[in-house]
Amino acid sequence: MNSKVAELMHQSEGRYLRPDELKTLHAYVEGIPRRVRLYQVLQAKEQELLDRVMEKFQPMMPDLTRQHGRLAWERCRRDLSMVWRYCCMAMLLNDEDYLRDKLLYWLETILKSFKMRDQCQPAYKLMLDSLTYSFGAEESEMIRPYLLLAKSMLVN
Amino acid sequence: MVTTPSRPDPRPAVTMPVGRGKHAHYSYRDFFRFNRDQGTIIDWNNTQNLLLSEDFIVGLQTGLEREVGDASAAVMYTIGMDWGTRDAKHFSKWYEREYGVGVKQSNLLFLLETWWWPFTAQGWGKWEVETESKQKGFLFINLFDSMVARTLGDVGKPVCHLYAGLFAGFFTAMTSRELGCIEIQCYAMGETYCKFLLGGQERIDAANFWITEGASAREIEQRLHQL
Repeated sequence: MNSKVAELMHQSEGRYLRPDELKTLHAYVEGIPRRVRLYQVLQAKEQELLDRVMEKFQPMMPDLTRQHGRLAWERCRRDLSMVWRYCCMAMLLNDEDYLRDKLLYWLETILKSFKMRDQCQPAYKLMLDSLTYSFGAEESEMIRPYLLLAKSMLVN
Repeated sequence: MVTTPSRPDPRPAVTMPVGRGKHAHYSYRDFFRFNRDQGTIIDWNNTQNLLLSEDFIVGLQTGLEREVGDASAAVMYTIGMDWGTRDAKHFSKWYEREYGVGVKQSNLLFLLETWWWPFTAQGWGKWEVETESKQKGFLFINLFDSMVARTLGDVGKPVCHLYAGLFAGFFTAMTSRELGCIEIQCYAMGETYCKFLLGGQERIDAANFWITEGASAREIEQRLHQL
């Protein structure tokens, strides 16, 4: 559940919700069918999006395997896929805190520890640039803020 | 939040809801399991946690100072050192269980980040390790939001002796080298974050001397690089 809605439920125990609180809840619930529909499209086209990103990213990093071992590209794709899936879930929940708490705070320090922030930077830019190729305007617009958040914390 | 990893716990481990393959498990709801029946808080690494208030930290510090005076800093350091030594053993086990490789086979910085993450989740603050001087036998640790300094406020002197001992104990146990640690800059002195020097005892003694002479953290860093 969206963390703000969960907090609202917690804070309002034993009393009636105020009109503004009901409005918040209503807006969240009303938005769910649309978010579920978009989520399914984003899920179905993950592979297509990542294929495009990897195809453009690999020639930019000819030394990656030499620097980080033979599994480097496999891990790169795994990580991008993980970030994408958490972004999709955050979009579905309409909850940036979910993305930060569940993944970004941790992954930020891990990428820093491997000194990979600069190297990964183009991959996130490619992901953002590729949105409009794989998705319609509505899907791109809805997922973009989450990808931008991931990019700003992980590689900027 | 304080942990007691070394005490054998007869209670069954709490089953985590997701697979062990998930390494990003430090959000509040992932990392802690609140067991209402037993009144326990068990974390991801099966460690018992206690919730403590800021009053506890103030009470501990004040009480210790009343009992032993200036030696309270050394007492806190020793407690931290013992904790770090024990935690190194505990960490080596859960790290291997979590990642399937031994601590000696791992990337050093990744290993250190992984060690500190439970502390971050428990409220001990975020850190940053500066390893540029590693070849010279010392490194710096920056600590943001120290639980002790934040609680005690601006008292005009370093107060994070527990952390210094923790770092010294952990790194000594992990490297099998006698290392010491000293806080050369503290939030409780009006700085924005705490800074620790970790290294051989001779460097710690030198830094301690420079601090008593009034040197700043930056000056200590410069002098260490010139040694």
